[in-house]
Amino acid sequence: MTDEQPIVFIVEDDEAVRDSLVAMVSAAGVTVESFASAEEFLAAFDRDQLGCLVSDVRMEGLTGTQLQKRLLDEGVSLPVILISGYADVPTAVDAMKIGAISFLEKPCTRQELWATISKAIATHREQRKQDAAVAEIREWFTQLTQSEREVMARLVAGQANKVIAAELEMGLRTVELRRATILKKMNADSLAELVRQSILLDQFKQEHQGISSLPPDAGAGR
Amino acid sequence: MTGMSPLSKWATMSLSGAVSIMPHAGPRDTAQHETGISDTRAETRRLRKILRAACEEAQQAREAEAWLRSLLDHVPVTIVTLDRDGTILSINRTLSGQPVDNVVGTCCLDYVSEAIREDCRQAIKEAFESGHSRRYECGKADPSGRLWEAVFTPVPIQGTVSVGVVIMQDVTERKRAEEEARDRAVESAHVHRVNMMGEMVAELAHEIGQPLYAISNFAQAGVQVLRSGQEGRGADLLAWLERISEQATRAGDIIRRLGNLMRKGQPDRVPVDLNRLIPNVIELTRPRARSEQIEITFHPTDVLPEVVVDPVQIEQVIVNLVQNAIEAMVTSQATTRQIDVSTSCLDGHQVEVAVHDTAGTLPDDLDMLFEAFYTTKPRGMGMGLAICRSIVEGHGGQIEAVRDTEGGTTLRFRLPALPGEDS
Repeated sequence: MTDEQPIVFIVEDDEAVRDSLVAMVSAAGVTVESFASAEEFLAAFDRDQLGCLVSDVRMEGLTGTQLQKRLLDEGVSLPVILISGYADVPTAVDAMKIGAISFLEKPCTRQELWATISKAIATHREQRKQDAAVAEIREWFTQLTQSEREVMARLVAGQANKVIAAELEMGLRTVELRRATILKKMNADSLAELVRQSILLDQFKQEHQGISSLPPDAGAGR
Repeated sequence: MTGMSPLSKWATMSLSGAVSIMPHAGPRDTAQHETGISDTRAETRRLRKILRAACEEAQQAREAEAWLRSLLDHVPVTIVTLDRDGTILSINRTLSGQPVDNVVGTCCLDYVSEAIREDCRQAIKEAFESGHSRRYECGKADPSGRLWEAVFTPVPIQGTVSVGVVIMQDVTERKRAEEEARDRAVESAHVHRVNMMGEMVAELAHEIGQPLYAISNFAQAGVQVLRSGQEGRGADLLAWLERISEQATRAGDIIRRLGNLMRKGQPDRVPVDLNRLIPNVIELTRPRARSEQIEITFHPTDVLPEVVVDPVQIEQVIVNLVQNAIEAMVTSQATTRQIDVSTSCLDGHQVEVAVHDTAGTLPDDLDMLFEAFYTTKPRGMGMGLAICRSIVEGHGGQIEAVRDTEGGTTLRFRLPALPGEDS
């Protein structure tokens, strides 16, 4: 996956500015795809592609900030770099709030642009790696039975086996067997690994909010 | 006779007074021929009466003349009589500081500036020939630099025209006031233009920024390629340089268009093809329209005669009408957002420019629109259309607003067409 070539997507309605951005990015030796509008981009871009989006804020049709919001709603992790003609603070703040990786003001130097693009691509690469890992953990997690999930929630919350056995009204031996199965199914070498995985699992967090919010020593001390 | 003015006394007298003595005397003479001494006495009484009447009439004539003389002396105009050669026969006051006696008998043309002397000679000649009045400005008729306006009227006396009356008036103050009013109009039009530009400036700054930004990017791309020693990118470099030059022109065009409108100074009238002027003006308003999702389309008529106008002022009128249309559509939240600007030629004598919008936010009283300080905008001054009207009328045209059946609005103005070579 690290060998994957990134693509910089450029969305800009002014033809000359669009072409000049393409020139600037392609001069750095990176593949570029350009679009004249947010709509055109949304209709055509490959959602699994590594890279980043460089978009003008002010455009006919969807604006840059609206496009960023649309990507977020779609769950696309592509980092967004917004470029604005004037120092429009409220727009910048909004964009940052919903997670634009950067906000550049026109005109920007190639160093600035390039630094921002490189950072965006690196972030995206990292993000995608993590996404893949999470997807894997989620896949493993779906293999657990309901009972195993209940035990796991208590394990990662730091409860001792005997406490779990008491709470779930099962034998200590059963808890120990469940614990071994869980570690195996989740491909975890240790309880610490299982805790890390559980943190990555949003779904898990939501299901077991009550338990995971227990202090780690709440059960262990008893 | 007591109720009559001295002038009418004078008029009656000059028509009948001088000759009235003899016809009265004639018939009585023959009728009373045979009578004696008593007749002589009666004759003496009669003659005395006639003499008294004549004395009275002579007195009245003197009064009338004095009255007329004082009238002529005090009217605030100079009244000169001329013969066909332009020789001054009489004058009611000093001319160019010369006493009346020195002026009478000299040629009137000696008192006008050299520049217009021939024109004056021609005007007097034509007036005598045609028998009609002529009006002309004498320019700086005397050394003090004052401006005179003269009306020359040939006067027929007993069927022949050999005398003319010139009534000359000092119009220096009036001309100065007119000039000041004109300057003020020019000034307020300029202030309005500057305000209008202020409203457009944010949009235009963006519009000028775009090509400059593109230039900067193309140049940086070129630098990057050359610095990193990339091979075989000559074609790219060439293309980028071409784009740089093209974008510099684009920025320059916008600044030039703006510069026209910002120009200050006296209006300068030249023949203008509105079909060529209007697209430029529309480009200035397009950024604003675009950001409000409004489409502006220009529909030029095929054949349009030129108009003699000050292009800056006419651009100002068109920008104002288009901006008003944009504002109207923004406020009215119109669903169809379309502005159509069109030109047409009416019966070959007038050129019409119409700005049509789909907003329909006109007041009931359409004439109100063109009044100063009338505004429908929250922050408007109400000067725009008033200035438009004064500009259009100053060019001999008219401006009006009309509602169309679909609820849209047209503001249109007409200007006199320049007669073409073929018409």
